[in-house]
Amino acid sequence: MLTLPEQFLFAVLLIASLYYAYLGFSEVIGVINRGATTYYPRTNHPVARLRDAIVRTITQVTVFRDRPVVSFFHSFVFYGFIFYGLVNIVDFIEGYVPAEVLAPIHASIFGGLFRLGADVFGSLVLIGVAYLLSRRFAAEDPKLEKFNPTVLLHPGVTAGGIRRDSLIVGCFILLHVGCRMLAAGSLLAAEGHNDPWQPVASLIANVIGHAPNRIIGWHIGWWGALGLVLAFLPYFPRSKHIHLFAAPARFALERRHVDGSPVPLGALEPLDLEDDTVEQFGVERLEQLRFTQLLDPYACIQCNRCTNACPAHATGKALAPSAIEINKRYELNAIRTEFAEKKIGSRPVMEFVMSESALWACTACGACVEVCPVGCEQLTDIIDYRRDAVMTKGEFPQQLNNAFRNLERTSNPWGIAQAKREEWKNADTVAPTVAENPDFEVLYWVGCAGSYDPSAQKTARAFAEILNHAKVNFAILGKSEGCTGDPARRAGNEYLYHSLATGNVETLNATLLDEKLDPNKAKRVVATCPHCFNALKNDYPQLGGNYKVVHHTQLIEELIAAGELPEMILDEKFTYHDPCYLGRHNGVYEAPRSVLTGGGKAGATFAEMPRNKNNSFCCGAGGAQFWKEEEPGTMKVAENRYREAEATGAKTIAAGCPFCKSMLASSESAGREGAPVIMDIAELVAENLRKTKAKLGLAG
Amino acid sequence: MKICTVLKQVPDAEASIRTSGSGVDLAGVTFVMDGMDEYGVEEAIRLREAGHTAEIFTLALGPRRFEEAIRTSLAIGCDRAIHIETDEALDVITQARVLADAVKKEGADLVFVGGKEADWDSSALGPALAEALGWTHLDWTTKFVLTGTTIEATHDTDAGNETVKLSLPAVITTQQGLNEPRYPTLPNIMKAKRKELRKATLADYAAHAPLTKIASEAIQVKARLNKILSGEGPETAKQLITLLRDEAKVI
Ligand code: SF4
Ligand code: SF4
Ligand code: SF4
Repeated sequence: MLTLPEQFLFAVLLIASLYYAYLGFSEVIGVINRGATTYYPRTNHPVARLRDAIVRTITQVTVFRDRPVVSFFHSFVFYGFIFYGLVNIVDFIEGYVPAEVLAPIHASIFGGLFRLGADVFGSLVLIGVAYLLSRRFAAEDPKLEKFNPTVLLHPGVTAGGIRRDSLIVGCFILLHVGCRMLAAGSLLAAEGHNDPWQPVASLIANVIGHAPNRIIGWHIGWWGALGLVLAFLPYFPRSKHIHLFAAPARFALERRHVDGSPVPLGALEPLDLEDDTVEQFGVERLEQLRFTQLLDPYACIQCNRCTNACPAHATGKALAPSAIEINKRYELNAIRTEFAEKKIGSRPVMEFVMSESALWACTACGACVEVCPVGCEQLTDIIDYRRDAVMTKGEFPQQLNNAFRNLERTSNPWGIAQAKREEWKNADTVAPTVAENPDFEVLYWVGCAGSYDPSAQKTARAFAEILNHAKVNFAILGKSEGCTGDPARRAGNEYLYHSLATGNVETLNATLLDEKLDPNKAKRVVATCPHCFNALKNDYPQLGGNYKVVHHTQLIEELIAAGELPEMILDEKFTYHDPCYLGRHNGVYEAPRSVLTGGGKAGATFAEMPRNKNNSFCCGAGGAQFWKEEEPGTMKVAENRYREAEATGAKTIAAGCPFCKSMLASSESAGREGAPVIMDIAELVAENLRKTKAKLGLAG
Repeated sequence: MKICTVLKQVPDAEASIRTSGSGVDLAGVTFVMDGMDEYGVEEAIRLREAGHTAEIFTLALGPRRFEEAIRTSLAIGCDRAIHIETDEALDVITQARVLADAVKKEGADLVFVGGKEADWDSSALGPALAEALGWTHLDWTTKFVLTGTTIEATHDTDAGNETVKLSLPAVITTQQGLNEPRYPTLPNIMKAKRKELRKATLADYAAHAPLTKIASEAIQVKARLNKILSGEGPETAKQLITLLRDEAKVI
């Protein structure tokens, strides 16, 4: 127990510390409260949310998704810290309650287990923090804080803010736990015996030697451990270690559909475009963000995993998704009090969050969101800033101007006449329109690429051939199909997207649904373009379009399983590139692989790229990049990916997206003699079909 | 200062135009603001942004469907618009006389109009308008600077270009290269809906009898020869060259 003056002093300091911590935390809450509400519910199904957030926090699954070694040591610190919450409370009680009173508890098995826990977890925390600090400061792991030179960073960051913050917190933990261990060891030393429940503390006791006066060590240790907590509490809301609270809160507040099911990671918030008194579209300043986007910078632990995964950053662009959250955080720290009190707004985000080149370098691939251990939505921010640039300010890369005009005038980004939409068909392509075949079962959404891009037209023809062979009763929309609006939406032009999309929803509702618009009775729609697939499946429900959407690889997989198509065995080595909007954004990883490998029979003929499935590396086309020059960097995104594919030794790179196909094929290396070719899965399947027919001696 | 931007609404350059009978069938065609006129609208807005105090109004003569293009000009930044609605197919000179009357009534000092509008592909509207107004004019302008009431502008000539000085009032015809027309922002699109779009009829302006009447229309159809060369590559290439040189006389 502490002496009376000690008890008094601690109580005073505790109250002061709690007061300042309270001020800090309420500022943070004030900041987050300034954010707008979101379209997707954030608090429905509270029990499931809480449960999932706790499970995710306790199991650390999202942390372990990447960097296994670091995550392992981080888990030491994490579990140790949780236990140390209890330890601190018990220590506090021991400071105020005479030892005799607590003796029976100490002697019980619970007391023993508790001491063992404190001893073991304390040591683990020390090991973990020592590892993490050495990684940052001694080994200087390049994954941390290694930004491309063109990345815009907040002055607080360039001044070494992240390192200082890490050092302060690291030292706090080392000293806090170290003092606790010293206190435990000194107590044993003063009591003159070792404790089998506390092997490490016993070791310390033996080192300092057993004698009653060693109790002074307990006092020093106690103050060191709990006194530091008092000093640290007010610092907490300023440091990145607020992630301890913010991250679990972020998990609990993740977006979900009304029925509680998860929302795909790339989903975008709709805007109110009807209200003509609105003068601001998208986000120009922090206070225009949604509240979760203001929580993100507090949840962000500044680990840079997202930046390591970002295709734009990997190819030398000015974009670093982690910098978005970090810069927001440093700005918020700087203006927190007045901002939280709604006295001021922030500076325009383009002055401190990211540069213009960074804004337009994003491929909307979603790798950042996927890898983030705390659930930040960097992509939503980027699109919100783009919305401001395009719709409110009219300042955006010139080439997008052409794409937008084309979309407005011809309903496709290429600017080719709508009247030519069916010209992908050649003389022997059978693909009736809905008018010609009103009793169709499956609607084939050809998409602009399939309609106009010569390389994607091949895919469309191959797919029609497949459908016909498998006797699928299908139809196309022909001239009543228009761009889904995906390129406009991902470029921030929600207005243009909206006008394109509402037209399509109207057509699709009339084509796929009965009079009651019952989505359960909807006919299916299949797309050969993952951007179309994603728009139809995830964007259109916001506009009242609820359909059963499949990607062509899913339908082909089904047809093979039903025996309508022969299984495909490729005899030359091949690899498969996951399109972001099929894989990461929609979780379709297996269907294309199963089609390509004959249900897994391909063995070593199929070579996975090192970055695959949810960790796949973008081709560089998404986020409207296809319609503009790539931002300055050290390499083209497509080139980076193509080299990875080539390094597998594959002769064929299978793709499931017209834009991936086109991007990879236009990369520098793809132009070399004998370089692997890129083909859509539909083309491969159709080729296989022809071969099989020839083998069986069947005519055409 | 008052600036007038004259504009027309024409079929989008990409639109496939069908013929029906002896004329064109415009049903289902996407119409847009004439691309050359758009440079004039943009230039007017830029003048104001460069610090000239100016009221900018759009002036259009044509059928009801022109409204959409007029709204676009308002969204780009014109303050108000006058739409002289008519379904009559007037010749360019008559159009110019009606427009000139309107320009005078509004008291404009400077008129921008496209160098060659995609409806009849005539480059005459600007010069005819200047003539009707009795103003000086400069066509095919690619660079335009206004200081006080003095214009210093560069325009294309057959042999190259020249830079000239002229003073207000003037009619300027615009073309590609003058500027990059902006994409209207959403708040401006919203505001454009509330801006004044005054409707007028031909009767509101000094009567001008059309100078021409369309007597008949015919679509020029050129049949293809459908000649297919056969044989080995190099040999067919030679044949092709002979044909292009001797028969078609294109090389
Ligand atoms: S969406 Fe992709 S390109 Fe954009 S910031 Fe995230 S990782 Fe980078
Ligand atoms: S946003 Fe997420 S992944 Fe990126 S640095 Fe922050 S915590 Fe790490
Ligand atoms: S999203 Fe689909 S419809 Fe739109 S441009 Fe892409 S391919 Fe065309």
